[in-house]
Amino acid sequence: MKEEILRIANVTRILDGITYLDNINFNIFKGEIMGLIPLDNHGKSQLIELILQNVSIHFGRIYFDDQLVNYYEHSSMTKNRVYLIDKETNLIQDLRVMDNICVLNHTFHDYIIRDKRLQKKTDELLKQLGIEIDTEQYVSELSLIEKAIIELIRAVANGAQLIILNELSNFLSIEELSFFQKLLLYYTKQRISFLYMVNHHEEAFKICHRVALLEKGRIIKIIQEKDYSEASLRPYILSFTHHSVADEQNNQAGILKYQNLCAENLKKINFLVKKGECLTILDMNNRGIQDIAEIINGFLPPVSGKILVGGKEIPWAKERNLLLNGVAYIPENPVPKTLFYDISYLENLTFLIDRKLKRSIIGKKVLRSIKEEYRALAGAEIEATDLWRLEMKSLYNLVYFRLLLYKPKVVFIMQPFSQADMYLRGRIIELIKMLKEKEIAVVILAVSISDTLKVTDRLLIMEDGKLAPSSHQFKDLPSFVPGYQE
Amino acid sequence: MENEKKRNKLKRLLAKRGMGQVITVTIGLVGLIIVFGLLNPIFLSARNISNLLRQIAPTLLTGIGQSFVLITGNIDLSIGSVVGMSCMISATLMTKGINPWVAVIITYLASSIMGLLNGKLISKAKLPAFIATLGTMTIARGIAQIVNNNYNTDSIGEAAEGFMQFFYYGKTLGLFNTIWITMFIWLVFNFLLSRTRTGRHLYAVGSNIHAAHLSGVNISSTITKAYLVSAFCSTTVGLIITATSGMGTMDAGNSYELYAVAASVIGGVSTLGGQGILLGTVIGASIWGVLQNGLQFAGAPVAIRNIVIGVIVIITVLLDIVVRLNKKVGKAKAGAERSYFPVLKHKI
Repeated sequence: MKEEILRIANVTRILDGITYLDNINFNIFKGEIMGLIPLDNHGKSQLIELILQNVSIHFGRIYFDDQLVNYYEHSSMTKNRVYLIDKETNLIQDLRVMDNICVLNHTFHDYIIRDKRLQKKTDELLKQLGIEIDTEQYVSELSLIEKAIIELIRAVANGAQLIILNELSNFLSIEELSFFQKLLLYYTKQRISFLYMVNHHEEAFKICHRVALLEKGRIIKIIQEKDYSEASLRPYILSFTHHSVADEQNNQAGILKYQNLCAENLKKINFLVKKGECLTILDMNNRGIQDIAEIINGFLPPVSGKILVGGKEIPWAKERNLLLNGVAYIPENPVPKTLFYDISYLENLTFLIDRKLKRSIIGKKVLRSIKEEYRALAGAEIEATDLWRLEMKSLYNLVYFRLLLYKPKVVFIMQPFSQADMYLRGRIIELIKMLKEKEIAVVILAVSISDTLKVTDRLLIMEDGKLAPSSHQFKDLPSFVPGYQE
Repeated sequence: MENEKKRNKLKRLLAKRGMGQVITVTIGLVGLIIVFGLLNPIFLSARNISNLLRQIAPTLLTGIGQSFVLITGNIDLSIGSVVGMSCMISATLMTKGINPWVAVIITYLASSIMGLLNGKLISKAKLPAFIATLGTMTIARGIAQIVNNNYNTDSIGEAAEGFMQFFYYGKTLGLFNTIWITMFIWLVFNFLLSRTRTGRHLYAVGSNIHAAHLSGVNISSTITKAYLVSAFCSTTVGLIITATSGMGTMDAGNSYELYAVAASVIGGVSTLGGQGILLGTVIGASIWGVLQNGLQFAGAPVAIRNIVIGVIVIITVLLDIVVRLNKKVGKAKAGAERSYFPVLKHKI
């Protein structure tokens, strides 16, 4: 009989009058990879917190390794032997790999640090897995996949029995993810269990032994491996349709052109994007797109090559002011990075308008007219005096509406669907389409292909910092994109 | 084989975080020494160098304390006042006839209370470091004033001769004791920072407090330790000042917290926490001392000296930023030329 590592029985969790977890029931066996697809993000972070630590619950019981650790009458606040791996690394960036694995470990009791001993121990751990990472390197110098691997090793070395993996495909490329999944399978043989949180069922079906669907704080379905199929999921998920407009743009001139651009992780890349076109650059190794983002933000100077906007070359020094050149950038998880919570919706919306109008004072008349124009899109929220009470969907609307109003020539979007639940992903697709309808060129920088296909007109594959020789129209995609299933 | 080992050791030393800045400022320091030596040959005389080292000692000691605190991502503004408080407490006790060594122990204990208070206010009461240490700065200065009824003390007398010799006037192996004391303290704290678990925890807290907490690091205790080190160093400086002047002065240590920040920052300790080494603080404090001493020899008035030092602080930090940016560009160039090699040679 299979042994359980975690059992959550009839658990309800209410915070500030909101029911985040509603009568949740599920279990994870030892050595199992349990998938969890949150259809909306409601209750997801509360569930993670609950598994990591025995915080108070209103109903139900939680068993960890066959021990009752938390129940409705008494929550001890103790931590379970659970480790969370997500994009925000829990490693100490300014310490070396071996310090992170060995010293910052509950089982380490030496007071004096003996580097040689640490290095030997860490090298042995890595050697077992056939991984070559310099253990003397500082964590900040590692790539995302290396950090994820070190976190995994550290978790196991720390005695974690259950590891929560939060949306790996948001920060690992297809190639990296595939390698990481091999490591997971290796550890399952050592009876380590995983809760694999993922937005896309295609990814979950590949690696998980069972998959649970979470919606509105409830587990609405648990699918066994033998039942994995699109049909079994159809009643629960939304399907997004694609309307390609690429053919209409074939005769237009490129609005943005990269010519032989080289940087640390970019090797002579060439591409152009046209007005109203959506181009996706899929980075197989998760290296080059970070450099593209850094270059357009002025943080990294290109070694050679040119960037032309509307036929004019933009010197790098001027790129720092990319907005003036008509190039906008939406970072990954843009809400906290681009919006100002303490000022009003309208002020946020019109934040860039002074640059557009080249005026430092914007007249009330102009603001009133913008307000009325965008009321149709934003509704009553346009009157909000701050952003604290707005829902995530409204905040995403605001991020994109601001650019619709500014109307740049090109918008680069880094991983637009990262951390978004199914409903939000649907809205982001609509928002990107709105940009395209305004004849704004869109360049999506992605490491995972899912959902971007719903808006993209053309796809470029980047591998080891090089772009594949030819681009691919949407209709060609399924035949060559790794991991893509129609 | 032996050569390769040596080369690896050197490579490891150079790869140490913060070493880049240390090398940059060391070059600057050598440049300053050459310039001042050329302007006035007395600058490089053995006597002046010995005096210079003794002059650098207080800045270095307070710099060590400030570096510990900065590495945890905090700041200690109470350093100067703790110096003043230590000076006044020790001198007052000695003038009241208490054995100087007992007075030294009492002074260390009194100052460690300030360190403890700083640490707990920041880590337990969650007060911003700037505010908490601003408060203790005023408190410590108040204690310095109240301890002898708002007067500087009289001379600490002949009974304290041994104390004065130990902390300031005495020499061992041809070097002033102040320099030996500073070197000893530096060695101990450098070992603590670079070779012990506490050291790793200090960096961890400054680098990512959330991750450090998740890794089982006791945040409160780690921050408190940093402030205790700072208080210990400040107290030692206070005792050196008492030994120097042979009396307690209420204004002792004024602005020392700023000198300490300058020594640390010039030496590459990040004000954002998590980065820096004590070797850098040595160089930072030396630059500070060489500028003071060298400009004095060059006949520059105090006002000009202050302006020059301020400008040099800005230039050094600016230089560090430029070096880091160039490093990034260099890395970019190297990356564009090299081909990727697989980091992961998995066998699973």
